[in-house]
Amino acid sequence: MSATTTALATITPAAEAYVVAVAAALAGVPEAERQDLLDDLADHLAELAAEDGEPLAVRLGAPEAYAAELVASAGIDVGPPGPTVVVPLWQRGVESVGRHLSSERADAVRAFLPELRPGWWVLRGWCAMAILAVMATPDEREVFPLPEVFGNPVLSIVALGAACTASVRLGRRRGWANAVATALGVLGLVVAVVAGGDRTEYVYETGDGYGYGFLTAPDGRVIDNIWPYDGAGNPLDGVLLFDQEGVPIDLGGDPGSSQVPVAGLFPKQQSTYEYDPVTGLERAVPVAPPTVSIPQLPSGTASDTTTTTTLAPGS
Amino acid sequence: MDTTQFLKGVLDLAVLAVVEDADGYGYDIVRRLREAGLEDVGDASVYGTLRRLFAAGALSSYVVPSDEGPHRKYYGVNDRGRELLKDMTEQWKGFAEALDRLIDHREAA
Repeated sequence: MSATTTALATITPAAEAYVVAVAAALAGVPEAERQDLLDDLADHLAELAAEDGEPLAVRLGAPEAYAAELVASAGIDVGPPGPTVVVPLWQRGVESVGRHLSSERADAVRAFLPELRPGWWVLRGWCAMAILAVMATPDEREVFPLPEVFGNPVLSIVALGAACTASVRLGRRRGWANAVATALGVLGLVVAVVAGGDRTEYVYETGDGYGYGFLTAPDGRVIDNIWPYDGAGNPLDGVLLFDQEGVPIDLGGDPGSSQVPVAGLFPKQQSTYEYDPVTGLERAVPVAPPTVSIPQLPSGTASDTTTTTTLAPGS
Repeated sequence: MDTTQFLKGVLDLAVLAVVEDADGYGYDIVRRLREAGLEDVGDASVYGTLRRLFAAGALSSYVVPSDEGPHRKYYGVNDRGRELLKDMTEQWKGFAEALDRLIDHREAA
């Protein structure tokens, strides 16, 4: 409607602010009705502008109250989100969930769920084998991906295939045995999750690993390695560090078991040990240099040259 | 006293009666209701009531262009509105008489 624009052109900034506030309070009203109400308001304020009187908030009340009165008297169902009706958060949450559950999308999901049943039957067979594997050999054998029931991979695969087939058959028959199998399957899943969660990664140093922790940062963190970088942000390898007395810096621990230990050589070679699920063996993975941010160096700082340095007297 | 609560129930009747007297635009109707003695009537209530009666088909509306001020949307009562006004008038009279009797009876006692 053009009424808003024509009327608004004749009203004051205060009136315009009032319209904006009412419009915001009418946010919950369907757009067509909202526009009608705002057109009326623009007309109304244009009439009031002709009288010189009190401020609008005194003459008409707060914009939110005006909006609430307008909506109530106009008989519009969708009230604005005003202070009059406060629905507790939990109630809104429950209603929202209810709406979602009854929506078409929820129906589609419900219709789709039975299609996933065969997948569950197979998973259930695997779970049964996982239980057996854990019960037979709690510590040594692998559960995931192949539960090693017999200690022999081929036999274990055959057993797994048999278990899955049996589970699918039970599922299709749907008797009491199927119910038992479902319960076992759920138990197996829990066991698998717990067993999987037990496998922790350990980081330790190559070498004897004892006695490190001589150097700590001011915040108490143990410094167990030093990663030198040049001014351009390139990690440096094979850097020798000495203290104020020319003694090689030793953080404890040997820099690399396969090499002849060199005191003060940094960065120290470190490895993470990971469990390789394919070979079942531990595997050393070298620790990569940490991600660092290289600050802008003051001009004139030598970053790439001297190898002999006169140490300043200890300060 | 604050008559806002009373007004809520009878605003349709009051608005229809005023508009039946003579067609009018929103603010004009607000003023005429106040002049008639309904001083507590809220501006927004009148505008909202006009909007609802119009949507219900009890009022017709037309825009009157104006040279000096804004264009004004006038409301008039149509046949349906007149019927509604007649029904509501009867209801109100019955209600008011009953209430009068109740109050008079108590005052006399």
